[in-house]
Amino acid sequence: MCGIAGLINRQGMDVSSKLIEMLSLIQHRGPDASGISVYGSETDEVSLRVSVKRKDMEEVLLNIVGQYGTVLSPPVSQWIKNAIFSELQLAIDDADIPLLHAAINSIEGLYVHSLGKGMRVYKDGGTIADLNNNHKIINSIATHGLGHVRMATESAEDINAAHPFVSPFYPDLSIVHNGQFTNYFNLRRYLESKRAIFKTLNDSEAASHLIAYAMRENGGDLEDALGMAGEELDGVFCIIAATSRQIGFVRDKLGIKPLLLFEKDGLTMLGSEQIEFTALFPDVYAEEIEPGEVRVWNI
Amino acid sequence: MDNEKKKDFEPKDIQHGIWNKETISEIDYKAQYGQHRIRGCGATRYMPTFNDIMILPSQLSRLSLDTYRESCETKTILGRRTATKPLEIETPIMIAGMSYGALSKEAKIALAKATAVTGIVISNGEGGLLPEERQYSYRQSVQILPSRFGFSKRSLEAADMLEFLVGIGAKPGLSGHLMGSKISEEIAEVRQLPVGIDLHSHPRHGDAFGADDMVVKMDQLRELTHGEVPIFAKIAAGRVRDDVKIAVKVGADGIILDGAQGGTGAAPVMATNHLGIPTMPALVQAVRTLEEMGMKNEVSIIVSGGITDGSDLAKALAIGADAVAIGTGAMVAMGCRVCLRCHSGKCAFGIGTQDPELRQRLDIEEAAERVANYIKAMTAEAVLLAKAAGKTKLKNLEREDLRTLTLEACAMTGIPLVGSNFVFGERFGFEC
Amino acid sequence: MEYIDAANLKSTELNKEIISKLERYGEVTVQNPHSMHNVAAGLPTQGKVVIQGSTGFYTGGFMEGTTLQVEGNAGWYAGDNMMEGELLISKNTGCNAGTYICGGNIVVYGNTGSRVGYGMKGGTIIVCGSAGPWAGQMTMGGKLIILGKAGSKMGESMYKGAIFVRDPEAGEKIGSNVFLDIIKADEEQELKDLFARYDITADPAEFKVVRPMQTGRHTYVLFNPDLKPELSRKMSV
Repeated sequence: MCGIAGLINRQGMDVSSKLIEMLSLIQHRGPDASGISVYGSETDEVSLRVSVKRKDMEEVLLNIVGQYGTVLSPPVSQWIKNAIFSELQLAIDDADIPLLHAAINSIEGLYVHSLGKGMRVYKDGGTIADLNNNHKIINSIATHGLGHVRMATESAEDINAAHPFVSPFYPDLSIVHNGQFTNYFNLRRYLESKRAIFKTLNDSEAASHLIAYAMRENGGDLEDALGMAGEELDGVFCIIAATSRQIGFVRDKLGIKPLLLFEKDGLTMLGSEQIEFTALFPDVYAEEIEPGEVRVWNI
Repeated sequence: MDNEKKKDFEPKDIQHGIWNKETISEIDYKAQYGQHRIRGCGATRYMPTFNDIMILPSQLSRLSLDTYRESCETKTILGRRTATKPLEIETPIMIAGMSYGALSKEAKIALAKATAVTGIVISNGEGGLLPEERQYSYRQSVQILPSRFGFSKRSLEAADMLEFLVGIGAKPGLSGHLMGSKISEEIAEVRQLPVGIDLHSHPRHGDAFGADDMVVKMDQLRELTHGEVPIFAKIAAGRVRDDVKIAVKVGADGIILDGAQGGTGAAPVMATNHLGIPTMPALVQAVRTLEEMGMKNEVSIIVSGGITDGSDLAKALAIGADAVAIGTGAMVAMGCRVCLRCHSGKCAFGIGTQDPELRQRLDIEEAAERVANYIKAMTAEAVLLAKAAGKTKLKNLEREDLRTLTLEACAMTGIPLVGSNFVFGERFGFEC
Repeated sequence: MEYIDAANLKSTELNKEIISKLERYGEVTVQNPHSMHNVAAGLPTQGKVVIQGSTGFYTGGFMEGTTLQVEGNAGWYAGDNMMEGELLISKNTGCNAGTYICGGNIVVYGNTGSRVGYGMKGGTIIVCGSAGPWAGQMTMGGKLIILGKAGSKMGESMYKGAIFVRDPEAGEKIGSNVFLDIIKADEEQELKDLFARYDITADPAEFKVVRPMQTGRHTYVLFNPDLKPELSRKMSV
């Protein structure tokens, strides 16, 4: 249905290229879309990655950004297939980051892929190889990251429906999801009543808003938020979620969708299939996560 | 040709139109008595029900749950808007208000005992609170009606839930009826009334004329119950949108919505057959209204009026109800055959009568067991359907799990017609 | 010894190679399987295959008489639908190992995940290490032997077959419609023979057996109320 990966690196390595390698080994799990999110060491610069539907909307984007912060470098935009991917650096107060995130998303045709310090999300339709070839992925030293390959089950195959998902409720959070929620529409209605802005019909987007909302309300406790998500979400699922300080997972109580864990040499790896870990170690046995389990690491 | 040998042919005319036996008998009644007819039970005419809706199962795009070996949560919490002790029941089924007076003491006790086994709530109905009912019930809802038979401050103290009654589906806009023949000594004592007089209750509350007064009334009731007890407004389905809006504005923790298919001990046939709107479209309207007001997550909805089995329960929950209430269904489980003679007090099964001999025909323990069985089985039916749709909690059923079988149902609800994406007017739910 | 380097092969190509080498030489070793799926699918009825490394899903699926040895780990559904033969996994397997097997022997020298032997109809599965939850769920025959720690809900709703466990907490870990029994003499002997054959050191006498209930399989309860009558307001007035 989908494939997921998570990586914690305590030795200063290139997380993004490793994630890409891990995901390419499970490409068969989802040919429709792929994506990674990478968290580096904290800087003061905030990066913004946005998908823009049309060239003339770039000006709109810059106007909105200007209302909340200062653009530090001109945006770097790439036309890839049918969409524009824009990246820019800006200086902005922490308190204004969620407001900017929501403001951009409220415009039809603009969609924030990531907004945060030392945090970048790269996602697109197509295979991991396509992602790697088309996008200029910055291979800097990073502390942790997660990734996803998508097989579309219900919603349309649009690039914004690729994972990882982020949410204005807690912009620092990104999530990937393998599975299918059976109460997406009720959740969506509930989240919309809390002013969530939904940009896709993808059920995973609901999970990102749900967990992000919980984190906003509980002061950034990922473990608590994932525990709540495990209760409120219905269906089968494995979710890996990360912020700049934490990374963790929740697995559904029936243990239908796989999640494996392997730790060695200061690396912690999460994934859907054993074969992913062979990107880093030639031979490995990964531990199966217990059904219903929630676990979080502090970075 | 020999004309004498040919027999006359009598063509047959069968009445498919207006002048059928039922119409003729109704006219005869009016001609004989010069009055409108009153009888028990509720509408006999066909009206659209939840049967016109189907539930979509999971297949490849979603995974099902094992019907027998994996669990589905049925626990339900009602009245969370302001109550500090919201009502927690083990399955989203309530025993609807049926008065001690309309029903025999044995029937009331049996219903109360059934709630103790299944962990649900029973409403006392119009006739005051029978002490034995409160003694045996798991949770007790107390109705506040315009008539206030047997109601006092003690009633507030004994309640786990209160219902401020505006109307019932069987005879919306009218009020309670109890024929003199059913007012026995005991009934008269509980209701604090004289024996043997026909009761025609008043339709308006003497201590709250209108919604503006009701806002303040609600505050009073909250204060007297220390803010602990959820207070519901019970309304008959008519001008659902306007009524729901007002119920929310006066501060109700929840709404009990009773559709036109609801029953009662005695009602004018005109009222049951021609007043109000059916349960299924009424529920959709109520849910839409609450969402318009942004109050869907706070205000609970209990829906009643012709609920018969787990499929009705599952579909009602999917549309957006938090629970259902059963009245006639519970009586049928005890043995009622819906013969429509409740008003006469001559119930052959000892349920809708005060006649001491007829009452002996109802074995309390057996009746209690039958009602408990009915509730358990209804729950199992709803759980089975929910699991097939991939849910681990009954409340996770959604309107997007439904499709309509008929054009009428599609038009009434805004739920797409089966096998298509087609709706009339505003879609109820997301396109999927 | 014949070798195949699977580093650049797709599984269908690899399997064709394996079958052709088996037909000619009776034995073959596969190198660099790199956790591919469907390795050794549909093998013929004779021969021995050694995999030097780890495999992905459906290792040796529908095997019918060969001996397949995986020197690393195997992924989910290892040995699924096996008819006959032997599947030996030196390290660990993923979930649902040995699902629906009709015959043959599977030995996992390491640990296995949840639902091992799901719906198995015959044959034998031995897990030397630990097993995850729902081991032997819905089995219709065969033997499942767990030497290490067992997971919860063992034998859930088995129809036929037996699960041999020596976990001291086995009693708390069985599922519904099964019971824990003592081991019979002929079963002890069978286990003794199996352990000898596969080089396993264990004493059959220490094992208990999870067996399906034949009568009184409880009626499934779809509604289980958690009654708290003491919380009703009448109690405080």
